[in-house]
Amino acid sequence: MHLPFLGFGVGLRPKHYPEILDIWPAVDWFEIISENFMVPGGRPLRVLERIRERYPIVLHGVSLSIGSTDPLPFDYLRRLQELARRVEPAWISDHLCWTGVGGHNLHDLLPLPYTEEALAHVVDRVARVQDALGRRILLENVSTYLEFQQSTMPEWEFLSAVAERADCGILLDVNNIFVSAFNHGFTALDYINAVPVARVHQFHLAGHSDRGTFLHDTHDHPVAGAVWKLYAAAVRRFGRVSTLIEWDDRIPPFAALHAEALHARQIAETLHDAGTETCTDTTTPLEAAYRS
Amino acid sequence: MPAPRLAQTQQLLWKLLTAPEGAVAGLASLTPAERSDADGLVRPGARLSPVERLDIYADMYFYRLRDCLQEDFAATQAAIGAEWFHNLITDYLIAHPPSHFSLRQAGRHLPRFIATHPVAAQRPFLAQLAALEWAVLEAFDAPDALPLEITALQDIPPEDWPELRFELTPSLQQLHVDWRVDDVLRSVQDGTPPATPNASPTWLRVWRQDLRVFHRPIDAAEAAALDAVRARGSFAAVCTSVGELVGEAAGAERIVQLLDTWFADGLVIGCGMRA
Repeated sequence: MHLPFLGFGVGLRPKHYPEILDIWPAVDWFEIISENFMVPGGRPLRVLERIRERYPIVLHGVSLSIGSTDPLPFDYLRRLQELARRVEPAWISDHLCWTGVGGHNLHDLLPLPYTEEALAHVVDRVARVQDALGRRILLENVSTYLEFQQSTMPEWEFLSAVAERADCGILLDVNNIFVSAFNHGFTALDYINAVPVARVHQFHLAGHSDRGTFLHDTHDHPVAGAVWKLYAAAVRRFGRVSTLIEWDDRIPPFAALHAEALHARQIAETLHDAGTETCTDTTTPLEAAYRS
Repeated sequence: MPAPRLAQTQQLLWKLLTAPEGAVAGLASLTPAERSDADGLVRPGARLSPVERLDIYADMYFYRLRDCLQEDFAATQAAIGAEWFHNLITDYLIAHPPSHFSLRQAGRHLPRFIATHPVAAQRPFLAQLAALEWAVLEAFDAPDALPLEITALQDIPPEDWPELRFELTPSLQQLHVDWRVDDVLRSVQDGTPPATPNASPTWLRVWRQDLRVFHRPIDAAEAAALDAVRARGSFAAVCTSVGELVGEAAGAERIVQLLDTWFADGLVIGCGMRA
């Protein structure tokens, strides 16, 4: 799977449309939430077409529901394909999760039990989705707040196995690893070090909120210091990977969002010559770093 | 006891996470067999019990949808206040859990649901206000269409006019309301507290011109004329429908005025001789 290195981008949000269309900021690329543009017409598509003329775009979906036991949503895939034809994205991604069952949509990224049954189910569906779209997709690890008793493998093993068996790529969300590590008590670097290097084609970074008893993936803060450290570890392991900042609530002015992308660039470029050796510094408890 | 299969696990979680009073109430509502599956479903965490972990998702389900509907139906919420709106949405989500892939569609049943809800007895205009807000949303991302310039009519020979048929922009919608809910929507859009709307039946048309969505009250003659056009009626049929309401003498002048307005508002996207 050969995908271009797009550099350091940000999520495209309506609040920033006027500023982007006015100053055409020197951001490397934009990621859009696919479903927000799977509409017949109007402002979203008009703005997107103008922005696409100047920037690479990636389609990032939230409703593929790849892990659902409902039938595959072929109408959704047809509309996604239509959008892809219009936008010609660098790639298409969604999440390793399920979002609904029984014809209902919870509009949330729900965790799967990490079992052989779920693995076979997801692998089969990824293959069918990739056939339908005529391209390989990236799947992202989600933040989770519960674990299933029935799971027989850690999340990173499940994610890696899906990517290897279904021949898809991975969008590694560094903040989600950090959040889930805190919520479930695993070591974030174990996750980073277990994911196959060749499968990772994009990083996500975002802010989260500390709810006391759990971390919440709220996308309404700057990237936390400890997550930047984990990002550095990810860059050391995976090398030059397209990186994107997500910010979905309490959205700051565009310059503040862009500054986060530029910070990611600075970290990545500083580490660029360090190669892709496995990071073995697992002794630093990231939770403690976050707390401090 | 064997672990529930993936499909059972997902069905069970759906029940627990969408229970209106949270996961504890959701657990209490399960059948004995489901309860047996649910008891061993989630691992306890270091800081949270299984039910507390489920409740994180249950809260996110409700609040994400409530916040989205609050944004899509801002005037409806302003008309009844945050607390009533919260309770209304709780009831709505029980009756109409989302099924569409897009969050944007979550409120599509809300106007009709409000009409059947006890809140309608307190605020009889509320369902029509919600219908207007939904029409505005629908117009926002309706298919694009290039408006026709009125000069296009100059080339039509007089003998062709009776059989002429107009095509209207796909964003155009028409509502009949018993209260001036458009005043409520305008107040909320202007940031002023909404008053109870006047009981004054009218038609409203909602449409998008370029990228802006507009709404405007229209009289019975215009509503009838638009109905006739939408039914692919000929220009002669449109004239008849207007004439029946304003009288034959005034009809011709009114039709000219309507055409001027429709072209100025970008409503007409085509005209031709075929039905």
